Amino acid sequence: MNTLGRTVLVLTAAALLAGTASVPTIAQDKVKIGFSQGTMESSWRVNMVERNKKWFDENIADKAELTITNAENNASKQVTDVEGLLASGIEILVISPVTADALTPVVKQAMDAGVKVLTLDRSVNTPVTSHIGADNILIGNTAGKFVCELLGGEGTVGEIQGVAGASATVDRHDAFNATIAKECPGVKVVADGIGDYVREPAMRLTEDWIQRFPEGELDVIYAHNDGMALGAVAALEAAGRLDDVKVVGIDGEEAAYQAIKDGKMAATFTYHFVAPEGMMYAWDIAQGKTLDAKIVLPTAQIDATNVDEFLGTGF
Amino acid sequence: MTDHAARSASPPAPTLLSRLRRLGALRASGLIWVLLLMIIVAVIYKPTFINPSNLVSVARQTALFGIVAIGMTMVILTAGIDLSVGSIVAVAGVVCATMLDAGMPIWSVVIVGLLIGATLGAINGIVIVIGRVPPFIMTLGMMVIGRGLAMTISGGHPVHFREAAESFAWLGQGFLLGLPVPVWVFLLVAASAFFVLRYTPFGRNIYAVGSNPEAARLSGINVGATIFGVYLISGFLAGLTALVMISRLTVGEPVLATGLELEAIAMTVIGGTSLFGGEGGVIGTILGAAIVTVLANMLNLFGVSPFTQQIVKGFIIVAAVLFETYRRNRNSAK
Repeated sequence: MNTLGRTVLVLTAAALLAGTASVPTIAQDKVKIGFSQGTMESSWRVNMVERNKKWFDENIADKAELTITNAENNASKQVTDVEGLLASGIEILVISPVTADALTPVVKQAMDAGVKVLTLDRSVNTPVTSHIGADNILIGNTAGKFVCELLGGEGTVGEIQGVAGASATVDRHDAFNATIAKECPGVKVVADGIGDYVREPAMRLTEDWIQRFPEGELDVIYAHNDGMALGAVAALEAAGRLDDVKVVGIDGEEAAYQAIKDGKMAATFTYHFVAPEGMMYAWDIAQGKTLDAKIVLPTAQIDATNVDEFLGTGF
Repeated sequence: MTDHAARSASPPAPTLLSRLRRLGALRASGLIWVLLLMIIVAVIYKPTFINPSNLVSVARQTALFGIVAIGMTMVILTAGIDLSVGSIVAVAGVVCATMLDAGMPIWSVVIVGLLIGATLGAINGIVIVIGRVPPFIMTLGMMVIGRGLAMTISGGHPVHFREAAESFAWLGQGFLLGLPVPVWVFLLVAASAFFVLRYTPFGRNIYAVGSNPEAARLSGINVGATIFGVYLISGFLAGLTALVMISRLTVGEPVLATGLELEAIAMTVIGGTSLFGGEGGVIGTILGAAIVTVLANMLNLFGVSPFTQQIVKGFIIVAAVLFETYRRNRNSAK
């Protein structure tokens, strides 16, 4: 419990209640919700927590109590975190596991004890109340369709992949290429490189491609995340080739929205933060609603036509 | 990994020939032929390789990683290793980006960036020298700590500053006399390191400590100060690299320079600096950096699959060390 004490953020709603004294106080006990986050070592994960917490604070803070733990990408710490949450008497466990296998036993233990479990983004190998996540295959397909339309069925693409072999990379690659092959065989992926989801390697790769392909021979760069897409934009801009090559990213970074607004990027596709939906569905469960076993969250396509609606909502 | 082997290995007696070889003069000439051969192959198969714009791009890429490789060379010459350089770049990168975003003056950003690098490097040096923690372990620890610091400072988010400081861009994106500014920075760093290693007592001490720390101590060399010095320099150069990199990218990312330490080690080793310490030098590392970068550029120009590229790169590193080991064995057999 000591380690738990260090990382746990207990959100008391007392202050909020005090500020709204006119609201009749409900004598009933608050619903206890525990949120175990696997890691917060990425902008996206930080957003998942912050946005769920924000929705909680704004909507149900007077009716429920939320405890958030961060396992720091360590599966055994997350098991301890969850055990601590269960010991504190939570009724609903919201969890985004570090790995499926390591967290399966403790999640099963929670289900057996009658706690409702909602897994976010990554799942576990045991039945839970519901799983909510974005779908990289859907995103890859949507990006593929967009590139087909952008090129009018004819053209060349350079693909900057994320960390080789990671499931997100594999899905974003396979789905994109399958869609292109099916919907617009005239579009060819002529170059392929690895950028590890980091801007700097993507920028170097793009610099090399600028040399490899004279003007007009490379039409689109499809990057597996916005950071790499922005690296490609920086290289193209420095070489004066931004008009020649269109850049497409994934994730929904604020800087990518700005680049789309400035006409430097063609489009990006959001990878859903699973927020505030995580808390919304947790609240649905608390009120006794039955959810589908698996809920796939949609991806939004952001391009020049709708970027104004999204500016300020990215991360 | 290498550290224990380094301490137990007995280096060859310093003859005139081996002194010359240590200074990297002989090996460097061999590497020039390797580099020339690669360039010829590249030009034959892909004439665009020789376009000025490609050469400028390759020079800039060489410079960005080369600055850290120069520091790594000095560390490896003492039979040490510095795994923390990539993380130090990230810490300095996110701090400097945050300062730029807040509109702080550029001179203060530069000073803070260099200070962060030097300080983290100095901490490495102090723990290694006074705490007697093996360099591999200490810098591995600093690598993890640094990455965690960068994540904590930035909250895990990339720190953008494009609007805040347009003039800062010159350091990473600008040109001076036809060459990218990072290339000038690299050449300046390499020339300084070459001078220090060849013409100063500190430089000679680095070779002596790497060859045989016990003999160096007995001959009155302050071994601790020498080792402390190389980690300080390595950290300082990582801070400098952070400034150049974030200027080029216009963002400080907590994941910046992930794996940079391995690139720098590869450049140093391919450049002929021995992981056992005491042999090698800056000229070899400049060529090693150029070879690694030209290789990546060639493979990208040729359109080689990224997975195959990794295999080729790995083979080249192993081949370089195999060659080095063969050469050492042949020499010690004489």
